[in-house]
Amino acid sequence: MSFSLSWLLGLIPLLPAAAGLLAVRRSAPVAVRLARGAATGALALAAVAVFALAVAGSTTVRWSPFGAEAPLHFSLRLDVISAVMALLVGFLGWVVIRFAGTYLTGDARQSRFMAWMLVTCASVLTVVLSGNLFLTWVAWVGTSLSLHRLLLHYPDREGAIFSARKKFVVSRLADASLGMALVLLYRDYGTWELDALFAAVRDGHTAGLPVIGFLLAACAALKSAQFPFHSWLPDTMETPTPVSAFMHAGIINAGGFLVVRLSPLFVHAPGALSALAVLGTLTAAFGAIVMLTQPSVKRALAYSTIAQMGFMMLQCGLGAFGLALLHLVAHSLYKAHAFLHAGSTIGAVPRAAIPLRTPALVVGLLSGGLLVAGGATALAVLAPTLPVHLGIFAAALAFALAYGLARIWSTGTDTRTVLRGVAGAGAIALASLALHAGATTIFASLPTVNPPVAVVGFAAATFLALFVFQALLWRAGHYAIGRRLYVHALNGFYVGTLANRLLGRLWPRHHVA
Amino acid sequence: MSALTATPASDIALPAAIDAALSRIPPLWPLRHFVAVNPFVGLVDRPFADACALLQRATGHVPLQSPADYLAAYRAGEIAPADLAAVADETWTAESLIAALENPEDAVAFPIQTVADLLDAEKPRAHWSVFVVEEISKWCAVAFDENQTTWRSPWTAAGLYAAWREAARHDHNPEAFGLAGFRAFVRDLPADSLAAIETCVEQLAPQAVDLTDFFHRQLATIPGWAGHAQYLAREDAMRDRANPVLRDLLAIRLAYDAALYQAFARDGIFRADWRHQTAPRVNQAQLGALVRWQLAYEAGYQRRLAHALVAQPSAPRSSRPSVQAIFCIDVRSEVFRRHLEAALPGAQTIGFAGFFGFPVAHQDPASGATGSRCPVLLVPPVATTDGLSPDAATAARRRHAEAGAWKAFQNSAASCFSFVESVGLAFGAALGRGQGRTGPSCTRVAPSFARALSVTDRANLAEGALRNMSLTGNFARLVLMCGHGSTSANNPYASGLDCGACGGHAGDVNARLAATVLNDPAVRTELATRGIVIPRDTVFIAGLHHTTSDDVTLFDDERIPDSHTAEVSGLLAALARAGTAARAERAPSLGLAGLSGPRLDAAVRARAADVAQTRPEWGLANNAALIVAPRSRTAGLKLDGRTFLHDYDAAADPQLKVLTLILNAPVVVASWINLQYYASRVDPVTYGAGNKVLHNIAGGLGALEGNGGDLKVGLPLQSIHDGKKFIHEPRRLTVYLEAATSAIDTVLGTSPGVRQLFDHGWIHLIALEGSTARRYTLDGWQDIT
Repeated sequence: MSFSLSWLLGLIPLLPAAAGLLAVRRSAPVAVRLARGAATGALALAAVAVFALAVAGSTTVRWSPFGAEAPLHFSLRLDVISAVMALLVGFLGWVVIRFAGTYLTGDARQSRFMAWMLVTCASVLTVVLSGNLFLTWVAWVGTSLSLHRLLLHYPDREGAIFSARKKFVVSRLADASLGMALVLLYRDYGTWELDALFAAVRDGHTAGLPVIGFLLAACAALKSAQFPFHSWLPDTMETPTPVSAFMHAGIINAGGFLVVRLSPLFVHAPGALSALAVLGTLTAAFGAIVMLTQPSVKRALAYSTIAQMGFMMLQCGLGAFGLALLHLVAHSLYKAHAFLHAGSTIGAVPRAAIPLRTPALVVGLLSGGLLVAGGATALAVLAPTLPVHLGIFAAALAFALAYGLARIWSTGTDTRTVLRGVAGAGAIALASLALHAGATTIFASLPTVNPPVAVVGFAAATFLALFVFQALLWRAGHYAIGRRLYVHALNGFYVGTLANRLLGRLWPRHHVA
Repeated sequence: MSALTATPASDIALPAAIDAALSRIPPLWPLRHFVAVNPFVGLVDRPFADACALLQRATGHVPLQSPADYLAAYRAGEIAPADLAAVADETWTAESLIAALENPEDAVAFPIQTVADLLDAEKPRAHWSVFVVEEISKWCAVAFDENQTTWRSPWTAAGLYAAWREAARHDHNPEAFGLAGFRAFVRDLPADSLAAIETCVEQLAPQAVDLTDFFHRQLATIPGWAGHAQYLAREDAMRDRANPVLRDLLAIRLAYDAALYQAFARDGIFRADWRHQTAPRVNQAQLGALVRWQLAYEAGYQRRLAHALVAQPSAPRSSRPSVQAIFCIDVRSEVFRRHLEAALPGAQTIGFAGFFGFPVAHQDPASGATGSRCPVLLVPPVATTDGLSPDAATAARRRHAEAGAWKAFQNSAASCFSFVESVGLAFGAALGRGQGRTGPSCTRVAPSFARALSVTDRANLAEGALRNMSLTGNFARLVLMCGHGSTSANNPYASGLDCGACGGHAGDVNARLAATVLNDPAVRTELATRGIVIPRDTVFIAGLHHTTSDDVTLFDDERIPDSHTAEVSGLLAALARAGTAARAERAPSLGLAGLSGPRLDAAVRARAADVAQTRPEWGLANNAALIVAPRSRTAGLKLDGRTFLHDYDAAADPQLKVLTLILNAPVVVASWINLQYYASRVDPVTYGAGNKVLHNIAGGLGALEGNGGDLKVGLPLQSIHDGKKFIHEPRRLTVYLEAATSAIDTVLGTSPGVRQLFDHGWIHLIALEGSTARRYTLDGWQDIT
């Protein structure tokens, strides 16, 4: 069993990696066939791994070429986190590689593109399956470097070079944070094996974790485009669309994965978690506001990703690790789809905010609250284990439904539309709460924490503020402050420009090859 | 390196210089109805070579192939020695022309400078020319946004300049990038864009350059947004409304230059360099050679086609055709018509602009949006909408409102997180499918007039249509009005593959309307009084040729009388056979050479629905000629989908009304399409829309490439290049016109706008008379041998 499981888990990243090496010098049609075959194979193996998990439970397979005492082992861990992530990455890899095979037909460097896509995919699969933190670190760096090749698919485009450099700097900072955390972990625990680390923590060895937690949190924040380290992401449109989609397969959301993966450690670093929660909240609000102003599809999507990464980080910071993982998966599927279909917006329904009448807002708030309360009551019966403090996500849901319902009531359409809107809102409330419950059940093995009331309050206040802001948005232009805020938001509050200027100093343009 | 004497701005009539510069900017249509534009439409009042020199000054590039391209074509025999000899003269002998390619002059052409250009040359740390374009692109995108942003600019009601001035005074971005004092500079600008231009010109005092050219250069740094502004101004001008939006944009562009100048002029060296600029330089000699080479490049195809056409003089048709099928003049119809004629002997096909003479503004009942479905030279006088019942219209509006609410839920700051959590997973299923919408973009129900038209008005439309397509007698029992449209998924440039004569829409609405009107007994009675007798047993039916798949859909066949159902079945079967044959002919160009039969059919159709497909079809690539003649002149010739075919019977046009219309409308439209392809091919960087895999749609109206920059103009690379080679050969259009040279001269004498296209070498004209072909030149008609 263990032998065949080793093969199974090992092949998941090895298959795309080998295909990548084979594809790089082949003609484009051969490279495309290789890539599609390997991606299909990796996805199938990931599915088998999920099945194996369901049958045999969590396990770690280990190959120790440097001996049992050495810190580095090739450990692959099969548990609910790695299985879900491997399935997600395998699926998105398969989708994106299939897409790119057609989309880049005729591109002079298509073989190279498919090859680096496979290598990136293999690296991410290694990250998510790894049971050894040093292996994680290596694969993590590998992901970043192979993504760097994809960002430079058009090596002569100045914008591509610039954004790849910006990403490069942020990634190296993240690598350094994780590296330092690894050093401290080795000092304190003498191992990088996840199961050994988790066991030691269970036994109460937690003294160094508050500091290590901050290093890991810094790494997560840098990896997942948290404010103010986000500005490379909207600048990655100099690379073919499939790369933007593929970034949602465990690359841009790697920070969230790291926190969830190491949640047994993080629960002993409450300061780091609170910092992540606050930073995530700020990032969510920042991204969501800037997103509304962006006049191009892909930049709007990029800011939307930043916002969603903030939300994911907030969930991590509040200790809702299962919900964070659910959000990570749902967002990845949604956003990969949005990027791949970014050519479909011509003639789409306009998004401009319409006037929302105050009675509609009041009714919206009441009915949104009622729907969520009803759903939550149902949920309490279904999943009594759900921690109470997660009510903040129910509150966020209530605000969202309130806005949607107020929007429906304000369109001035007939009763049928309103009824359908209420029914839709009810369905969304149920779906959302059921998924929360489902995630809490599936990821029941993940630890929980009780976050500080102040942090929860801050997040709740932010969602309330976002609701009020969105409700008033249609008349923001009536006020001088609203007009000024618009200009600043359109510019992403200038973070990108300042970062560009800083990078231009560090790495002047005329050194561009 | 001679610094020319300064030309004080005050000496020049500023408004005249502005207007002259603005008139040079070609319009750019939004992607929802993207039609081809002649990128030189503002320059056709000067000879081609002069325009090339002007463009080299304004943009740094000339719209010609590279010396290496011509040399390769010459060595490959595509340019025959005789063709080269024909373009040689005292200035350029054939030998010196070849030498000019073998040792191309390395003197670098040097366009007019903007302040940003000069700063880039002198201070390479920042990249001001790029930054200025980014800034302007940002403000244009939010000002013109059609559907993208939730938080709209607060100043959309104001004019472009006024909106920019209000917004830019709060914009810290230029200062964050290093442009000191920008907001204060904007605050001091006049409120009116004309006054602002004057202020900026005074500050900049451009040297050694004509002011009109200087303005042209400024706008040439942002050709995409300038084109969009020109489009808006043109639409208003056609409706007798003034719209200063392009002048506003010029003011904004100049303001950034003036702000840069003010910020950096403290640097004495920079100030001196701006004050004592080198005059722009044009590679005049090389330009002269390349212009001749381009003519030689075009001569071979032109001569071969002329020979083929004179070998087959047209003959009048005596018998009644079994079916008449009227197709658009679009080059893609040529392939299909040829196969339909083979599949259905006895049928007659006719070429006419695909709006069939029914210029309509069609309103979508759900969104209320109206689109002009006619050539862009016209303001559609007729309003139509989908013929929905009141209940169905209400339902359509309700669905539209619900879609808007759903989008709002998806994209608001208050609800986007919950949206992802609740429905994000469902997108996994859509990702797994990988196929987009498969149906064509045609309306399900028959169109109807928005306001009832009198019989006289309807008969006027019908009469104009029939006379202009030279179809006034010998009607078949079944007449198919076959519009065309394209099917592709996830393709921002989809409308560019639709019918240009229908304003970048599928031709279904026009065809169905035409068939309905022509079947109307009251209209027929009225037509009979005007000398057009449509037999009682003639039935018109509408169809749509799907150019991606070569399938044809017939519409409203429930209205076909029983007496004609057999003919309709026969027609359907013939259309299916023609489609199969047309697909087989196109298969190699689609990379499907190995397939045939049902597998090929399936592959072609799957391609149309594939969301990852960047080349659903080749559109009008490789178009080269417009043939205005009876079909008998071209029947049986395999023209490879390179020719527009317009039917014309000179005998039926003694007053030259139809000829005048053809020269002023289809010829102009074909020249626009042709020169669009030409320019996108010879200089994809300047005139093309770049790489589709990097496209980022802005405001729902145009494409940016990569992170930003200007709106892209012209055609994407994937529309003219298959990955190995260019599919489009850049040949300026040759119009073959079966008419007496005297008649053509008469019409050209009264149509100066078209005449200059030929006089100035933008397109070519060859007259066909019996078995002679004569070329129109400035020195009179010359026989082609």
